[in-house]
Amino acid sequence: MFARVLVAVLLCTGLVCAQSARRPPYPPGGKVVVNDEPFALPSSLDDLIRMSPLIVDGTVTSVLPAIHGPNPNAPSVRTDSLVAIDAVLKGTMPNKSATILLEQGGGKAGGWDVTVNGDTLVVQGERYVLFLAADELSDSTKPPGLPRYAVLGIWAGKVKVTNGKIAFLPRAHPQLHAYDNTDVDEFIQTIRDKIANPPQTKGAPIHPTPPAARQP
Amino acid sequence: MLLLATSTYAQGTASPALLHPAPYVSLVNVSHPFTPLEPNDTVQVSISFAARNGTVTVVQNGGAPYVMGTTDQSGFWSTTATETVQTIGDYVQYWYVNGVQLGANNPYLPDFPFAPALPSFTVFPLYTGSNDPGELPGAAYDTCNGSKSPTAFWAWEPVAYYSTSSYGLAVVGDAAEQWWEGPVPFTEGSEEVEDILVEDDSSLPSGTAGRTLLYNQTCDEQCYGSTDQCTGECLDDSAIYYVDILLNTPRINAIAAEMNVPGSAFATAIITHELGHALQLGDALPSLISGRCSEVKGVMYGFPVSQFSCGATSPTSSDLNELDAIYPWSPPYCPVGDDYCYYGVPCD
Repeated sequence: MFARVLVAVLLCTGLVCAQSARRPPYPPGGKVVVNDEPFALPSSLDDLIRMSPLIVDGTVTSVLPAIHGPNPNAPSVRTDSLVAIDAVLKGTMPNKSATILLEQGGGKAGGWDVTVNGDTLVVQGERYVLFLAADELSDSTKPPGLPRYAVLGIWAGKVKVTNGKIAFLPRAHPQLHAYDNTDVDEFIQTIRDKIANPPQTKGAPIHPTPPAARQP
Repeated sequence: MLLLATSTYAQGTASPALLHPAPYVSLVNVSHPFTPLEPNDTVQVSISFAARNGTVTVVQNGGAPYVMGTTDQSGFWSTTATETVQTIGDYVQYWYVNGVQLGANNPYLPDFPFAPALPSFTVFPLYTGSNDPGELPGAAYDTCNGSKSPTAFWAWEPVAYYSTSSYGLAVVGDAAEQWWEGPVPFTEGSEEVEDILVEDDSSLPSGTAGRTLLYNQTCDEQCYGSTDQCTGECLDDSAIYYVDILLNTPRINAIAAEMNVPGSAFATAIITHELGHALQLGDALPSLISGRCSEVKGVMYGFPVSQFSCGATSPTSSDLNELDAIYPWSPPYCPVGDDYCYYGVPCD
């Protein structure tokens, strides 16, 4: 201990001083990759369809300025984008809106360039088939009148359409990647077919006390 | 599901005056709510607000209607059964009272994507594979210069935590205590002394429960490449600099409310998991995910609702064995509050 104190004194006298606390100040910014914890991570198209209240085919019309989290020093950045809905494959659009606000983690703000591991931010003009979950919590960053949604499973429910072919993001489950390079119209029809033929929610009418059931 | 063979009649107990009057049927995994059914789980089917003294009938998998019992004088009825290996399979059930089909009251998707629901649900076989967390991939933490380091370690112990989260320091302390058996002990810090900071972050997307950020020493230009005055360790890019744990507090509280548990209880489980990430543990996820409890081998299971509902609130051997592999020995001791580096004293 004495030796350590002695070294400290010597170093400080040499204009090289120790940090005053265990944790130094935050770095001023930089490029970071973050690991986000999803509440759910669908691994199959059936799961995506079952879990998503809203499935749309849409085009990104605008990427809004990134929003910094409550701690101005931490690399917590979110980017919302406007997506024009070309077709609703499942669910209904609130207020018959033709546009949604798509929220994603990551973006550039406050000196930080944040990328969510496994996810990529959408870009204006890109087309996606999106499996969405509503964000019903309001905050001051939400433009009035626009329904806001997040992609189900962060990266799992975002399907990019390029030159008429679809591709899941790299971190999606291999079962989902089996659909990569499918023609988008064929993929959409697959979704529609699966939605049109779900497990029946209504059974056949029955007699109030069916005779067969009374038998021991 | 052996409802048809083993069901027993039970009187409902809910108060009809407090609930909505439309009749409904619900199916719940009583053993582990909001997770899929598997052998040894107890399932409960409940009917509410149906006709009084009505005949309860079920049609399962297209078979003949089967009379299960009679609603009570308040229009309630319920039954329980225990799943077994023999009941593994897919089911479609429609429930009726006096021949009128009941609507299903299912847990809200996507908050509870793995919960059994009517009319279709599955009784899964027990998962028998391993499901250990592994090491956090290098891409999952920040090196502040855009490059990736394969592994980063704490260069000292104990690691001090602090919380500005609305859950408070005690909740974080409860989570930190769960790791007492690990090679990197935690201790309570302060606003001035914090290696791990737990914060609320309502700006996280709604599908994100939390975010853990591990910074290694390239973030700290003053200390990078220097010798830790306290431990003698070289603070290079394999040394963790500090950790932020960001919590999507509104969503955590909302889902906890739906599960009818305190937000702090659910948060404790999530923070315990995130502290595992702070120790370099990755997520434990099988190749095909069902969310069933037999997949949950420890606190590093990848989905918070299953982790919590399956009772994985403390690290298990699955978590600790991996942690021991990452840390074959504990980092050197350094008293909390000690300065930890001198810049200008390069590593040998």
